[in-house]
Amino acid sequence: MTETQEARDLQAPHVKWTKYVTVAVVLAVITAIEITLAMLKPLPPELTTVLLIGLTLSKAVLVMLFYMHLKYDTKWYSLVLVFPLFMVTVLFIIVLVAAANWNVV
Amino acid sequence: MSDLAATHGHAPVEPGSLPGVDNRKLGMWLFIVNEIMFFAAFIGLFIAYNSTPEMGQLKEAIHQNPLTGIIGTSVLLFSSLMVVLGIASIQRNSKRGLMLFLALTVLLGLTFLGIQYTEFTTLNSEGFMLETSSATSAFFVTTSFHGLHVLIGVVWALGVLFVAWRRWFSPQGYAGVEIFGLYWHFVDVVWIILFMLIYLL
Repeated sequence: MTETQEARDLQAPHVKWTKYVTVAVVLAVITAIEITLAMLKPLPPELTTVLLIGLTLSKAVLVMLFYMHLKYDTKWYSLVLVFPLFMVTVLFIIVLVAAANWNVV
Repeated sequence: MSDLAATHGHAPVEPGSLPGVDNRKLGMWLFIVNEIMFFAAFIGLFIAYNSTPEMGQLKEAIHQNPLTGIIGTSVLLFSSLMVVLGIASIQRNSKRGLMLFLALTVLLGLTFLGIQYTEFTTLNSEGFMLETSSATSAFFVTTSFHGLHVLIGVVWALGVLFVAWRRWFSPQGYAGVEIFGLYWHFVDVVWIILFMLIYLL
């Protein structure tokens, strides 16, 4: 393997531009669904909240996998994220429980 | 353009490096980890105040003009597409393409900041200030810090654009674009979450 090839391998993976555009279309469709759910409120509030959180997280994951290249890069970069995302999840659960019980003002 | 030339198992091992890991990108990811914890604190604060009457009043005012949030989100998502298309361009040795997409990224970033400024001005005129309540503080501090990150991203993009204009990037060397992209997409991910909390819930 030449030095040039080695340098290229360590940089961004080569992904077809059509894949990037496809991801953008999917993100736009998910956003449209989110807005419809939030504005027209066709479902019960609890179900709407769960769906909105799920759709939002799916958008975030899509961006991280395809635009930030976690799907294609070495898994070491993904491993770096595991612990902080676990900590953030714990933090949000604590905040939700606290806010529900203490009625934070 | 060929499809993915996978990095798995092909990258050289440098002393002190993990296999297949570019230490510059790893550094950026570690910075992003730091930023995740930073924004988690603010988003946590926002969640804590989400069900208070003060936040209800603020959101009622924000939801009177939902187009602001929808356009802002669309602009930021579209800017992320511009960055990856810029990377795809330099991989095909299209330096003009890279410059075009970076310029569009700058333009979209400035548009987002303009939208945010308009929203802040409108809310201020309706009596919602930073010091009005804890809920408004949580809103303005969180969104302002995000806006500051967008501003830093715009300045960074201009720097990358300058480097591209000087033709210092090539299909063999464009880590500067990739690392800027990681930052920009992270700022986008933060907004995806804030968009749900502010405009949808």
